[in-house]
Amino acid sequence: MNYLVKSREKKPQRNLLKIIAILILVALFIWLLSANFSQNILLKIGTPLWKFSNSVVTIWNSNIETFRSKKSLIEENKKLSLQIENASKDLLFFDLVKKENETLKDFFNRKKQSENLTIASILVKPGISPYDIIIVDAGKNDGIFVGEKVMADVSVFIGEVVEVYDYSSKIKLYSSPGEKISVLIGPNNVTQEAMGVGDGNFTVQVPKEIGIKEGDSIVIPSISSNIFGIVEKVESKSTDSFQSVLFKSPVNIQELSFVEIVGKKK
Amino acid sequence: MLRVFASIALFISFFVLPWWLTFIFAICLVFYFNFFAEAIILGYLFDSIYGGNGIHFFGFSHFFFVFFLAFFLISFWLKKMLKFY
Repeated sequence: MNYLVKSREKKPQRNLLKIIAILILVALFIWLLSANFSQNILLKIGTPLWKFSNSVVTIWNSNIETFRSKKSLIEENKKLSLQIENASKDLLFFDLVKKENETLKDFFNRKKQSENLTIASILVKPGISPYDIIIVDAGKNDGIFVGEKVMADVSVFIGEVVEVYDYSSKIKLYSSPGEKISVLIGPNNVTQEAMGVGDGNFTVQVPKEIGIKEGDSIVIPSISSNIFGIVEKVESKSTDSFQSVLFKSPVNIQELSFVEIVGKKK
Repeated sequence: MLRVFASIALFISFFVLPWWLTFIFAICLVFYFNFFAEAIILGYLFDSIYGGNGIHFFGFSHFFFVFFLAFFLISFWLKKMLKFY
């Protein structure tokens, strides 16, 4: 004799109870994770993994060159040699201007005070992190404080310290999307507010009368003349009274291994 | 056991792989396993380790936690709707 198979009764209430129980457990776990000691533990676990990952990427990048064609290497060599030749000429002029600048500052008693610089190795860059931040291996124990400015390549400001842990710190880049910063732009150093758009890029609206062209330097208001960006593109319509200037940090964050954190002045 | 290995792999990928790969990996695991709440914890880790004070992802400060929480809840309905599942 055949019997009809009894259909399995659905128990939606059981599933709902399961979901609620799981969410409560997750909430408890997150509450534990949010404690400061947990953050320090997670960062301590992450540090060797990040260092290992960075080493692998460095080894890969240095070895991938062996697979490039001879022709492309010769062409790149010629291009780089020409760039070095042009840069050497500019460097001679730069040295003269720098010396004159320091003499003038000394004359007006505005010499740069000595800064407390801490060199920190980068553990995480944008790419691994979805946010436009970098994590470095210097923290409270190295005398780092929230709000300290961060430089790359000796003279380019790239961000500020926003969180400090025992052995690491989180740095928010000035180019983070939506981040605003005052800059000096144009031949008359007009102050405008630039906005970050991510990946070392910025945008700023300036009146059309200000003559800006590609390759112009942009600095931030400071006694030091540190370059903050280089103009990449200028866009404007004939009907607009403003022009949109797109500029980029001279530093490529993805190629950085170290940064300098500027401590309090002595 | 497979779930334990998957969770460990997800945790390691959070530190080692680009964020978008980990993101896709987590979404796949939510579909593969039942009640994969580890994805919500991953979302929280994204926001707490890589995010922080005044740090936003397209204007949202806790984007990943909210996304994975919502996705975890929606996944039950999605799994019922998807034919191949």
